[in-house]
Amino acid sequence: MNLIHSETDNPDSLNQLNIDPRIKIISMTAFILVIGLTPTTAYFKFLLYFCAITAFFVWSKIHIKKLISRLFFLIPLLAFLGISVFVFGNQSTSEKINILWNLSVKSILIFLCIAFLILSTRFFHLIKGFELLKTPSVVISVLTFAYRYIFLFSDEAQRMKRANKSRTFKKQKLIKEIKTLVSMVSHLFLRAFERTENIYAAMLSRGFDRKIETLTLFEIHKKDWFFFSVFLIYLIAVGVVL
Amino acid sequence: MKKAAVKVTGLNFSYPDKTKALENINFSLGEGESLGIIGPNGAGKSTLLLHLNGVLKQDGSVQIFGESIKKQNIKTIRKKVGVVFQDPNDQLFMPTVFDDVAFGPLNLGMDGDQIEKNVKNILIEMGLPGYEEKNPSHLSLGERKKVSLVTVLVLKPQILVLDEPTANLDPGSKKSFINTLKNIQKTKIIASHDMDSIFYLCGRIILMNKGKIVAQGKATHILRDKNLLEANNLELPSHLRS
Repeated sequence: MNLIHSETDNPDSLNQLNIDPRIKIISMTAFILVIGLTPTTAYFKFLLYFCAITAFFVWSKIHIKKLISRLFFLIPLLAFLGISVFVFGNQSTSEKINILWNLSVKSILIFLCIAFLILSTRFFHLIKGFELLKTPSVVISVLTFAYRYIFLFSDEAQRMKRANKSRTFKKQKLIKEIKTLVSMVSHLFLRAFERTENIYAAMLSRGFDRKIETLTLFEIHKKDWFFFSVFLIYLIAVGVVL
Repeated sequence: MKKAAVKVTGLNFSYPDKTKALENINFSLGEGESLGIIGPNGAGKSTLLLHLNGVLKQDGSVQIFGESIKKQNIKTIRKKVGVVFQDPNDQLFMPTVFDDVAFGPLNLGMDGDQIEKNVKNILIEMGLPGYEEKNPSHLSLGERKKVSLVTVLVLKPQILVLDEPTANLDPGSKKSFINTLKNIQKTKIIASHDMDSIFYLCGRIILMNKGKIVAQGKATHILRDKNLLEANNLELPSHLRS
C-alpha cells in the first residue's frame, strides 16, 4: 500500500480539481487548523466539516477505493489512541469517551484533508507549491530526490530480495534472516552512496552551483482566488460564527 | 588541419586509494570529428571522460578549444562540453522530464520563458513531445537514454561526450539511438565497448587498457585488427567477424 500515489494510477483523475497547488495547500492548512481548534462537543460543526471534505472528494472524482485503502493507515493510530485513553487514563468513562471522540474525529478529518491534498494533486505539483510558498530549499531538495529515487531503490531492494530467495533452499532461522536483511540494507546504502557520487557528477556537468533551481509554470487564476475566498468564508462561517 | 576542439597532454589520475586510473594520456581531436574510446572494463574510459569538463581534478593538461580548464572558466567549459552519463538514472535526477531538461539552462542563468520554449522545442525535435510532466522513473530505458541526451543537447554544447550510449538497449532502441547520434552534427567523443556502434559513429579510435592508451588511429584500421582487439578483451565489429 502506498500513501503517495503513483503517477501511473490515473493521472487524469489528478487534474479534475484544477486548483493551483499553493491555494490547495493554504486552504487545507487553514482547514486543519480550524478542525484542531473546534471544541469537542461541536458535533454539528464536525458534520459540516465532513460534508465539505466529502464535497471536495466528489468534485475531484477521487476513486472511493483509493480513499479507503489510504484510510487503513488510520486503524493502528486509532487503536493506539483507544488503548492509551482506556488503559492508561485516570478519567471517568464518560470523560474517556469524550477524549477518544475528540481525538478520533479530528484525526480522521485531518487525515481526510491530507489525503485529499495528495490524491487530487500530482506529487511534483505539490512540491512546486511548497517551494513557491518559501519552504526551505533543503526540504524541497530532499522531497524531490526522495520522489525521484524512491521507485528506483524499491526496485533495487526487490532485486536483492529475489536474488536472496533464489539462493535460499530451506527456511532460515530468524537470526540468519535478520543477518541477511542487515547485509541487504547495508548493500542498499552502499549503492545509494555510489549513486549520489554519480548524480553529483552529472549535476556538476550541467552547471550545478549548490542550489537546485526549477522553473515554475504555475499561475494563480481568478478561479483559484474564487475557490479560496468561498472556502475561507465557509470556514469562518462554520468555525467562528456558528 | 582542423582547429583542435580537445587537446589532452600528459594526463594522469589516481583514485584516493592510490589506484592509477589514467597514465600519461595524450591525444587531440579536431572540431567536427568523432572519436571512439574503446577498451575493456576498468580501462579508464569513464574516468577520462570526467576530465573533459572538469568534474575530476586533473594532473596534466586538458584544453577545450585552446582554453585550459580552470576554476574560473569551469562554467564556460561545461557549457561547451556536454557529458551524457552511462546510467540515465544518474543523469535524470529531477521529478519530471521538464525539470531535468531545464536544469542545465537554469543553472547557466537563461531566461525562464526562453527555457520553457527551448525545452518544448527540443523534446519535439527528439521525438519526445508531451513528455514534459512524466517522471523519468516511469520511462523505458530507451526513452530515458534519449531524455538524458536531450538534457545535454538543450545546452547546445560544441562537444558531445557520451559514456556507453548503447549499453543495455534492445536492438531496436540501439539502432534508433545510434541513428539519432549519427544525425547530430557536433564534435563527439564516445566511450564504449560496443564495436558496432563505434564503427558506425566514429572516424578515429583510441584503444585504452589499464589506464593507458594502447593504440590510436583510424577506426577502419583499429577495428579490423583482430589480434589487437582480442589482446585487449575486445572483438571485431559483428559484420567483420565472418
